[in-house]
Parts: sequence; C-alpha cells; structure tokens
Amino acid sequence: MTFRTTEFRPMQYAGIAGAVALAALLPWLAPNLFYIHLATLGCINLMLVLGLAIIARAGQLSMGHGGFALVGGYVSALLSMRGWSPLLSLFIAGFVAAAIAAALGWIILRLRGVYFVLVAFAFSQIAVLLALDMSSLTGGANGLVGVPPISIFGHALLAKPQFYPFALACALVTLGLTWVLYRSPLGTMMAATAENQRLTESSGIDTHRVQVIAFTIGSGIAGFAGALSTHYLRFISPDSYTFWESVSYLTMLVVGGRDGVLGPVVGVLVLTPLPELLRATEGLQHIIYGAMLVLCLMFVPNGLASLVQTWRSRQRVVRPSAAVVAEEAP
Amino acid sequence: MSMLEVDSLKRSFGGLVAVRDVSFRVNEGDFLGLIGPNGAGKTTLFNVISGVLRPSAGMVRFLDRDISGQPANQTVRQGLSRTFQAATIYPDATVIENAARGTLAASLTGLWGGFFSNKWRIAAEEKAFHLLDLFGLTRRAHLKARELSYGEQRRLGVAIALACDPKLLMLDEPVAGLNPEEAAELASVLRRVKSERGVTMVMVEHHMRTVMGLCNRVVVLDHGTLIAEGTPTEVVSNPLVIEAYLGKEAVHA
Ligand SMILES: Nc1ncnc2c1ncn2[C@@H]1O[C@H](COP(=O)(O)OP(=O)(O)OP(=O)(O)O)[C@@H](O)[C@H]1O
Ligand SMILES: [Mg+2]
Repeated sequence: MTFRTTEFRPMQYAGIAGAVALAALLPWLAPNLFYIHLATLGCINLMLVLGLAIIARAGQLSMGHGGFALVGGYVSALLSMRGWSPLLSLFIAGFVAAAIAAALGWIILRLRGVYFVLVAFAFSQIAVLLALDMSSLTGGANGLVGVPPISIFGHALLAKPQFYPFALACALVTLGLTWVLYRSPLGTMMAATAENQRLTESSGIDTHRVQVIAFTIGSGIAGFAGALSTHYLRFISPDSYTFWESVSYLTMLVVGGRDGVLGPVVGVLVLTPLPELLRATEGLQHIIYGAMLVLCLMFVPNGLASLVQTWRSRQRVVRPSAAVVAEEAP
Repeated sequence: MSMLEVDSLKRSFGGLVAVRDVSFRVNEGDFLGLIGPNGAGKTTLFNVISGVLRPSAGMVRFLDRDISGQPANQTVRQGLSRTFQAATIYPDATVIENAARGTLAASLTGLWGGFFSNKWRIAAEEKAFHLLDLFGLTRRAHLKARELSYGEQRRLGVAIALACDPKLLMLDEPVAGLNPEEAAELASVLRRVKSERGVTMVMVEHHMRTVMGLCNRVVVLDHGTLIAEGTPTEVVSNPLVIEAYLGKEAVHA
C-alpha cells in the first residue's frame, strides 16, 4: 500500500480555480482603481512572503528580506534606465539578489538562530546605507524617479489595470513553483532540517547546503518582487524597503501560517489592505501589525491557515482512527 | 576484514579529556558492545566517529578511507549510520514521513530531482513501510511521531537510522528506558536486521543482559580510556572491568 501525504480532491481544485478566476476578473469587478492598486500590491507582497516562507521552511528567519527587495529594485531600475529591457532586468535583479544571498548564506548560515537573524538584519541596513551613500549612482535619499515601465511586445504596462494581470501572473507562477518545491525531495529535506537539524544531518543530508539553497531561492524571489514593484511604482528610494517592510512580511507569514503555500496567501490577503487603509494614521500601522503578530502567536501560533487544516484533518481523521481502534481491540 | 579502525583517538572539551587515546577495530559482521560507567566517554566516542564532533587527535578509518573530522552527512552517505541516546525523531511529521525522510540521502534523485514526478515519494514510502513493518510500527504509520509511546519512538529512531541502508550501524543505548518485553523485542529485531541485511553493528548499552545476548565482542571504556576488550564472558570476569563498572552491575546481570 502507498499513501500520499498531500491528497488532492475535486473540491480543492474547484476552490483554487474559483479563487484564480476571481483574482483574474478583478479589473472588471473592482469599483475603482484603488482596489486594483491594492491587488497589485498584494501580488507583490505574496511573492515576498513566499520567498520568506521558503527560507523559514528550512528553519531560518530572515530579518533582511527587505534588503534583497531593495537590491533587486535598484538593479532593475538602473539597468532599465540604461536601456535594458525591464522584462530582462527583472530576472537579472532576481539573480543578483540570489547571488548575494548565496555568498552571504555560505558564511552566515553557519551562524545559528539569533546570529543569523542579526546578520541578515545588518545586511538590509547596509543595503539602505549604500543606497543613500552612492548618490551619484542611486540618487541618494531622493531615489530614482522615472523608472521605465515594463513593456511586453512593445506594449507598455503603464495603467494599473494593465500592470495588474502581469503582477498576478508572476505571483501565481511563484505560488505554483513554491508548491512544487515543497513537494520535492529538496522541499522535504528543508522541512526535515527545520524540524530536527541534527537528525537530518545524521540521515546523510548536508543541512547547511539545504539552508543556503533555501536562503538563495527565497532572497532571489525577493529581488524579483522588489524589481517588479519598482517598475510598477516607477520609483525606488532607500525608504522603499526599510526594516519595517521586513517586519511586515514576517507578520504576514506568521499571521497566515508557515506550513504550506496557503498561509502566505491568507496573510497577504488579511494584511495588505491594512497599511493602505490606515495611511492617514501614520505610525499606527506598526502598532496594529505588532498587535496582530502578538495575538496570532498567542492564539493561533500556526497561523490562520492552520484553522482550515485543523478543520479538514478532523473531518478526514474520524474514520481511519476509528478503524485503528477497532483493529486493536482484543 | 576490518570495517572501522579507530586509532589513538582523543577528544577533549576545554581541560576535560572525554576520550583519551582510544584504539579498536570493528570487523565486518561484528556486533560490538561498547560499555562503561556513566560519563566514560561512550557518546563522545560515537560523536567523534560519526562526525558530529571533530577529534582532537587520532584517526578514524571506515572502509579503508580516512573519515576523521569529516562532516556527519558525508560519513552517513558512505555507509556509517548512528542513532542518538535520546529518542531522536521528527515529532511533528507522521511516522511514515519520519522513516521516509531517512531514505532521502540514498534516493537517486539527489537535491535537484523529483520536482515534477511522484516516483521518488512512492519509492521512499515503500521502503519506509518495509522498515515500519520490521519494527512493528505499521499500524502507527499515520500518527504524528510525537503521539507514539516512548518505546515506539526509540524504535522509530533506529528505523530512521536504518533507512539509508548503512553498512555499519552505531546504536547509542537503544534499549534504555524500555521495559523488559520491549527491550527483548528490539533485541530480536536487531538480530534479524543483522542477519538479513548483513549490517555490522556497534552498540553502547548499560543493560548487560542485552549486551550478552547480542554482542560477539565487547570493549570497555572508563574515564575515556579503553580498559578491556574481549568476548562478553571474558569482559565480565575481567577484574579491571569489575572494579570500574560491573562492581555494582554484576549483581543484576
Ligand atoms: N559537548 C560537551 N561539552 C563539554 N563536556 C562534554 C560534552 N559532551 C560530553 N562532555 C563530557 O564528557 C564526558 C563524557 O561524556 P559522554 O556523554 O561521552 O559519556 P557517556 O559514556 O556517554 O555517559 P552516559 O552513559 O551517561 O551516556 C562527561 O564528563 C561529559 O560531561
Ligand atoms: Mg552516553
């Protein structure tokens, strides 16, 4: 007999298809452009949170996630302002961020727990300082204005309803690839490393390598997403990705849940609208984010998505466990 | 043919010398017992051999290859697997996943395969089911490992260590904390694994009845030094050993 750990059911397919259709039809359903803007930000946030989730999957917490998005944003902005196609520079931005992560990860992932968090944080601060300091290249505190839009087949994605489908496609591809990764041997090794590194190492798996790979993939996605956002807003500055952005991705991940790909989706849906709606009350959003983080850690430590999973597994478990009990009765 | 050669191995922690100039061999087909009082350095010796700790001095050779100071994951892939003194499992994964994770390093896909096919998973779970069957855990396959009894968790730990098809299996107190029936059951499984799969074994164990029943040879460690070596009966009657260790235990054995 064989058992599948993640079983797919028609209901699930229908749910996914429905959600994707709803997201795709949003430009026609939304009452005004602001909703499309929010949905675009949601797509970009989803990519960033998925990147963070991949790193967390291998048992590490990156407090420098925003730094990689910042690097990606600047790389793509600078290249495209010198005539490169933005469609190409997006990917280069992802690769540059990934390469930095790979080099950094090789050194700092030897550091455990809190040290890793601190060094990743320091990296993001250095990225901000460099952006401020190298003003001849980066425009200093003013940032870079007039970043070229993405154009596909000579068709520039200038208006919000045009950009949104592209962002959605990028987010869905990232989501799909993350799902594939989680089910692969590499994804399984990542989960094993997070749960018991010593045992995984003693099962013949180079856990350091697995963690560096996760850090590289996750940070590469952050670089790509940072670049995507830069071409959407047509602007980037050192303030685009500060420490608070890193904290907010982490909050989305914790509130949504770290276990599968559903968690980041839920976290992004719940938390993306918040700062936009609270824009008038500057400063309050950090407090609300903090409160949500603490409340979630207290009452739903595995995230909102885990509530769905608990409910589903409760439905599934009833019969098999009854069978086991019956079998074991003398 | 000797499978494992430990030569003048030493390991210290700051000023404390936990393993001092230890040399011994494990031959193919052996079931070697490693005994000694608490704090004698048995676990440290295991850790240094398996690559969890680096040696301070000395050499370890496995299958004629120098493996001293080599990372644990590499040593495991060469065929030397070990269990831990405490129950070491993946508590939040299911029992079948626990065993399947043990097979990953030996599976053919490597790090970069199996993205778009389920074959590796089916193969891993099939292999894992054989192991669960061997250790009497089949009915527990879909429980979370944390839901198992202590004895079952210990057995699962051995199953995970066996999943990578080792040539040499090193067990750190496999029956500690088990009741007599569980201990006897695990001993018989180990005997079966040894004869059916031809796995050479080294076992740290305080439980003398188990050592006597399983091991063909015993080495004795005391204060980090190897003080005796021989068949179980020889070792038990060795005055040095009785003085160091069996003085109190011999009564129970
Ligand atoms: N990581 C470490 N750091 C410092 N000292 C250590 C470390 N590991 C072990 N020791 C010390 O080394 C000595 C040997 O310990 P070890 O765990 O190897 O003994 P043991 O023979 O396995 O004992 P037991 O039968 O209790 O398991 C002890 O004095 C212990 O305190
Ligand atoms: Mg010990």
